[in-house]
Amino acid sequence: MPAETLLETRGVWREFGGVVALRDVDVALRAGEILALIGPNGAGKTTLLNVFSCVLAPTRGGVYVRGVRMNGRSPHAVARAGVTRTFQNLQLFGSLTVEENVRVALEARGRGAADRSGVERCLARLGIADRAADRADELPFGQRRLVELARALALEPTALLLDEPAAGLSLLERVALRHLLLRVRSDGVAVLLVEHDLDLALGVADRVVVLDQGVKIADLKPEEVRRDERVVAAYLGTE
Amino acid sequence: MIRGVLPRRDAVALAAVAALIAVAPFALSGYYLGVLVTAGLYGIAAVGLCLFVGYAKQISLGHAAFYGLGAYASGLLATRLGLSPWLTLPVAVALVVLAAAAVGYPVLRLEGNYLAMATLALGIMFSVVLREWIPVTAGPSGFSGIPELPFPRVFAKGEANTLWLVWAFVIALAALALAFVNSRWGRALRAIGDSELAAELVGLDTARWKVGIFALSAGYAAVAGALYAHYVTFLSPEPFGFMFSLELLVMAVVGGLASVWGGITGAVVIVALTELLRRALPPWLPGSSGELELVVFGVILIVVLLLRPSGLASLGAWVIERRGREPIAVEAPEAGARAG
Amino acid sequence: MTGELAQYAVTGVMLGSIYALVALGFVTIYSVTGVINFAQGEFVMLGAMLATILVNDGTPLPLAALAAVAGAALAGALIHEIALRPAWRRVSVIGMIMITIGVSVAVRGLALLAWGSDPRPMPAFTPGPPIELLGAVVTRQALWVLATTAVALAALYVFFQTTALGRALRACAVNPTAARLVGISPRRMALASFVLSGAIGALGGVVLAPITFATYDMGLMLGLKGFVGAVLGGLANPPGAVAGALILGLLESAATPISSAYKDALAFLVLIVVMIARPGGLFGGSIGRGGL
Repeated sequence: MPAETLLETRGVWREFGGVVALRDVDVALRAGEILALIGPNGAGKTTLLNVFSCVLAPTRGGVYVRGVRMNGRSPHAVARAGVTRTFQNLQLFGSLTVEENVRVALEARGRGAADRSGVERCLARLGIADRAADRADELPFGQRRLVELARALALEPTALLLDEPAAGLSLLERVALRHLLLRVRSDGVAVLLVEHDLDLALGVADRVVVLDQGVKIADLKPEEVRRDERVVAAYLGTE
Repeated sequence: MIRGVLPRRDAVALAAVAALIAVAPFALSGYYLGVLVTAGLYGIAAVGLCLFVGYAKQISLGHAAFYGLGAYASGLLATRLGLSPWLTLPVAVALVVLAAAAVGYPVLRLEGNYLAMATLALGIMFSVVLREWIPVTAGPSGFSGIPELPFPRVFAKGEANTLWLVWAFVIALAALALAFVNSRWGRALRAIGDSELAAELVGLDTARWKVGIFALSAGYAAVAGALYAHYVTFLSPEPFGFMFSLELLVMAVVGGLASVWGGITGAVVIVALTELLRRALPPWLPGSSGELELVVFGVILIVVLLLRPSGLASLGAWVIERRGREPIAVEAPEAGARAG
Repeated sequence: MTGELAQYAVTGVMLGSIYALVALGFVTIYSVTGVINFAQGEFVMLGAMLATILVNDGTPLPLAALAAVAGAALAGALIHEIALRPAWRRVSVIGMIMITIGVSVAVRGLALLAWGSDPRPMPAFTPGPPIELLGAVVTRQALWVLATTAVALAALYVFFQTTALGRALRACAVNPTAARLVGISPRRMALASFVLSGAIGALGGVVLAPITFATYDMGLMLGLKGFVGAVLGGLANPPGAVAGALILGLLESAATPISSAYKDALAFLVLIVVMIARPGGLFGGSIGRGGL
């Protein structure tokens, strides 16, 4: 019984000037799964996330959320459709407190300002409740990542796109992140994970899509990745 | 009504301002009351500009046009159609809000340098229309005979009555702005100012928000402009040019952009400074009455931005809270690489 | 009929030449620093003012022109050192805009204080009756404007292509990080770009002064018009900026008989429409630094 497809690109191309960053890419994220998106540097992973979240428009092809074409829509439309994301280089509301960062997300969903317990729950879940009153840009890097995650989760998304969530995290924080990802999945949230740390990515993923130079070269189970010739060639070829 | 909506400190401060204005007619001469009226009018417009520039982190170099449009619309309606200024004022403000939304919808897709130039260009286009559309605006020579706002007059000195009227608007509109910035909407607005991208990804329609706040900000300028028209009873294009847009921006910057109190503080300080220059200068520099203003404004803008980007209002907050943080000094100029 | 057309064309190209010099100033600073210098028009004013005053005091024209250009270049250096150098990396784009606006107003105010508000006339470089050209009547000063612009453009091209400083500026525009790695200081290049922009703008002012006279407030409009030209050309594209400025000049010249009053408004309408509809300029390409 195939799970519902939440998020999908069909035949997506993206060009920058003359450079092709994505070439005819079909990727689908199904409900309840963790899909790892891996590939060497410059493979087009972040570009694909940008296309998925309507931060970038595809040059050709379509982006669909639950079968609804999103081309030409703004990122907020995607967010309201239940898809949100984080950024490799963090996009926080720096002058707001940690608590306000999460609150803005709750309020944007139409939750009243009174929903205090919701904010506290989100922060507690990521272990940053004690920083609630601090300005977001005054936190150490690892905790700022957690704030961004907390804000994304506050939206109660059906699909969560994470761009290098482990970058800059300590070993301990990585372990916590891994547990968090599994917990998020058990809550029924689908996760699209772009991650350089292959141990982390393959350890939690249900399925792995490999990109190389803008082309999807493989779609397989995590345990098959290290044995797959195409994947090995792609990684050895460029690194 | 105010309790629970306004932070206690702001409510107390507003009450204090109201008390000061209430006693001012008994303590000050007509000249100083006139200066305070001007400061109040500019303060209203500067508060509006702070919402747009300080909170939403956008820029407008054409706000004088909204002030002028409010003034001309209310003045013309009252003079030509003989309507009550109490009717024409809200109509003029509504008109300006709609015009700002209509203009903002395309123009606010621009950002940074391009937005600055576009708003500057809009302001100049407005000046051109005021001067050239003679059948309606009466052209460069302007028109007089605008009726004053009818309201019960308490004092024999005209300025004293106007002072109470104008500052009643200042206090009401400042309270509204303070309630707004402390509400969930204010939080969303600051979020957009910090990162439009992140705001989009939590589901905020930033394009609509920016148009909305631009229109609100223009509405503030229009209230001030309409009050001005019925105060001076004469209008000509001259006061509504680029220099006035700049002056409003200087007020907002000096007071502290990301602060409602900054707008009011800045207006009072700049108006007072301008008067001081006008009075102090002629003796030692004959023939340059007030012309040094230009230099002073420019220097103030540079010095405040370099040394204390959060403005005077933050000095107060800093003394109280000891956490002076510069709201605009965040990104490096490389961000300008996007040209916008 | 052809005479009339030729007349508009010549007037348009002459206006466009002045705008082109201003536009090149914008492009130079923007390419190197990422900052739009809202004080660009004041360089034109300084050039016109200094040259006029010197000539009226009896200084020979070539010397006066040279001194005016040098003076504006020095002003560019001072502006950079005083107002912009302390702001690099600390102040946002919006803050930078406000700082350069502050500079522009301060310069204008100082000019007003120093030289008053009356327009100062300057004699034409070579007095004499207008010349007939393809049926158009062309003043001798207009020819000076055209010739000076042409020479300046050629000189700039040679400067950017062949001199070490020109190449360093271009390197800095294309990739500041890489430029730093090979020992080019972005700060010094920023300073150089202000000096160069000051000189280019002032040159426009010098040749323009006999036509419009020198006034303390001539900079704002000229600066804006130059910016329109730069935007039409794509902001970081010097040949594009020159072409954009010429297009604007021709457009204004063609619009003058229809409505000279709304001529200025037209330029700004074009500006807004182009910025929204074609942010990369009329000639394609994407906005961004990397021109010169």
